[in-house]
Amino acid sequence: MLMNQTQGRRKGISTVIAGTIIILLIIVGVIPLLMLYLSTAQTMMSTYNVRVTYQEQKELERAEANVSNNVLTIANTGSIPIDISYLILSNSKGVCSAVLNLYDYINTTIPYPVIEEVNTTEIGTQKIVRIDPGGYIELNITSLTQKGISDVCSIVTARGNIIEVVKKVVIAEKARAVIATPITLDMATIANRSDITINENYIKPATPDDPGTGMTRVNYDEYGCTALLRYFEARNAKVIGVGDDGGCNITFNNILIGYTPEWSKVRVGSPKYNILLTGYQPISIKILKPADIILYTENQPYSVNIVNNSNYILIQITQNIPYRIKILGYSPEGDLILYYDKDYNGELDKLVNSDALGYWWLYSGQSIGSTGFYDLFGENIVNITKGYFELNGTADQFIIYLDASTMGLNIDESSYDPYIMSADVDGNTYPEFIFVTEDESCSSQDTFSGNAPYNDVGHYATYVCDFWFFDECIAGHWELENIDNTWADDWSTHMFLINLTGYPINGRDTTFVQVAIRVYVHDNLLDNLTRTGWLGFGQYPTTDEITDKSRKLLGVYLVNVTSGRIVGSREWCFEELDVLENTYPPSTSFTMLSATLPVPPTGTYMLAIGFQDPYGHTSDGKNDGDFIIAVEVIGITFYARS
Amino acid sequence: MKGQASVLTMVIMTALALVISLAVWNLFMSTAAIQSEEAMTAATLAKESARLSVAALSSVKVNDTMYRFAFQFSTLDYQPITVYLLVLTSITSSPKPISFNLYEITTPLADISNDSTLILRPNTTAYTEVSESENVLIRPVRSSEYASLSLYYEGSVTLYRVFMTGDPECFVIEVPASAVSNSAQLTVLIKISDKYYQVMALPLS
Repeated sequence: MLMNQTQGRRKGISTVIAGTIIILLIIVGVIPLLMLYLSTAQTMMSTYNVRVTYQEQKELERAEANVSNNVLTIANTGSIPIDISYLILSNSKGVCSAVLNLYDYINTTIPYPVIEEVNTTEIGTQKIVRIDPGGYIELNITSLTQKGISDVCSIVTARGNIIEVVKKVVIAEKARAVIATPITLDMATIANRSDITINENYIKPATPDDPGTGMTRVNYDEYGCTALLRYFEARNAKVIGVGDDGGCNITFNNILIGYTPEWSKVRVGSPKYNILLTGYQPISIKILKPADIILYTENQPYSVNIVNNSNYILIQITQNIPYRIKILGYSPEGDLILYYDKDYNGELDKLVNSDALGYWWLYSGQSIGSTGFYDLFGENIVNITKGYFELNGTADQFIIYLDASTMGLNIDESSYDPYIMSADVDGNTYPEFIFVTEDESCSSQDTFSGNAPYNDVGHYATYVCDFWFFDECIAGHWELENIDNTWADDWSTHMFLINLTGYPINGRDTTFVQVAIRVYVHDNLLDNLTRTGWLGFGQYPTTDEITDKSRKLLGVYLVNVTSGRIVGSREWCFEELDVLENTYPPSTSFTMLSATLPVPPTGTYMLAIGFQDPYGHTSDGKNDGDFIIAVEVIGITFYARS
Repeated sequence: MKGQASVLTMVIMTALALVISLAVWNLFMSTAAIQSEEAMTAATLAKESARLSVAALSSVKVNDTMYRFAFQFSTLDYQPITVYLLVLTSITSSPKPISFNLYEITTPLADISNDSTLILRPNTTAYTEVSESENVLIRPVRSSEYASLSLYYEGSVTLYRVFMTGDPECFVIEVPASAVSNSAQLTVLIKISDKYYQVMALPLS
């Protein structure tokens, strides 16, 4: 019995020991496994959560982007903010290979391209544009066209989502897509326009150091060519004419007077004017100090004296030489006054302020001009034998142009700078972009003798009658008299092209494009005189001085953006424009010209407007006309491809 | 005597149990440590691959011999990251990397087919370090992200080390036309400890 109890106790102890050992082994094994599991699971869970958060953010991004009429709209249609980093663009070949940083585009483009933005933030540190839910941004992308971009392919977010851009081409809308705001051309800003590009060599200031290209003129002594260049410039200066009678009047041959485009637009405060004056007769002008003065050459020009006083600079042109004066941003002291003698009696009438706006011609010996602001250039024509401009005011820029040869410089080509100016000459708030080669005089060919007196030379020819019948002259000829060194016949070496790069035309959407331009044209060719007198023989001959009438003065061109090739054009030659103008009496009206050009079905195109003076100097006086071509507004109408 | 023997047996048994327990404890703890490290590596890979965003923006055939691909690199938390780049023509048992040029875009607007808007990433970032076969771990393109990383490279391989601020940046990779195929890929790796792990692969086709 005792033995059995002892054996039972031992068994119990053994069981306890064995159980303890087993439990110990289990604890030793399970706890690390448990720890391993817990730590790994915790790490993986944490990682999973982070990963899910990132993926959710990426997947929750929702945005829409579309392009319509050169306006790119990006809208956040999701529930979280989106950060736009890049735009993918197609280059001129239509390949989506261009990358644009949106933040940089917004902050470096002039003019500022953002049309409207709602709940949008530009973040400079990350160079992104953040659009909050419900927000959107509208961007003008016309300036990209100038850089060879033809389209927008997609939008990229910082999280790596790529959103395809939808092209909104609504046929009906496109067909009505007339550019309601006319494209106006302002010389002062044209170099910086985002929608227009012009070869900078044509518009740079024509200085002796860097004259540019595009225009030339016959030398003042008729031998060889020279260039019209800037000689003197004063900025922010008080300028005063020194007249013979002690007044402020200066003489002129032609003068163009118009409001500055800036003032014409706002019409607040005293008017400011842009003025271009041509002439050849002696004048004196005083520039009061202080003023910013630029003398473009140290050479002493022929017949020009400069007196540098402590209070002023006096510029004197002492003999007959051709010159031009451009006065930009002119504010007259009191009224702006244009004096003229219409009755050969020495008594001067005057035109004041807005009445003086216009294009005025005082051809030497010919006395052509016009008065009357109600019928500008029209019915109220009077002969003006002399004209004076009262120069007494401040000017943003006062520039004197002289022949390079007058300044002793061997330069025969300049930019269009001396020949172009922007001004609202008719006061209708739209500035004209004016190209002028007319300087001094007009001419016509003698039907009987075949002689063709020269244009734009200071002294004019006299018509001498060879055969009289009763009191009527039935045959005669022109005799050139007193020709001196005042030749000013100009012509173009390159056409001036205004490239409307900001108004691209996609051949896929557009089948036709119609361009309308409002122009004023004038020449110095007396080619529309009517014979008068007995038996139809007149004192004045009819003329046909231009024998080659097919030369192009004006054109509208459709250009392939990629290749630069002209695929369509409408050009106006002399013969077509001649019927629109009258040298004497000068025609008064602007004319709308239009060109309808078919657009090829593929590719991207742009429009270009071009003008030039194609008639150079000739030895026989024929085909040597000079012109005024003023372009006021350009309108474009697109016709949708169905 | 019997009692003494019993006590002695118990002591020996207990000691034996303790020794065995300690041995087992040690075994499990070392296993746990190894697995924990692997878990940490896997977690880091998962996190970094989710944090890094690489988007293919554009590709262009520059000429008959050259292609360019534009990629946007960014991180979703806008925090810096260093990645290593490798271009492979295809994933085979012994894939051969091909040399490529890495460009940065220097202007707000760049046409990647035009050299004037690109600048070659300085060669100093070309980074030759790997020489052990176990050091570069990549996964064939278009395979499941849960597939095991494979071990490649038995010799040295040139990796392009690119430090990124995390803000969106556009890089252009230029490769020979002969390398462009459906199986070519840009492999993006990160470095953990002394190994390079693939976190992303983008087709070059």
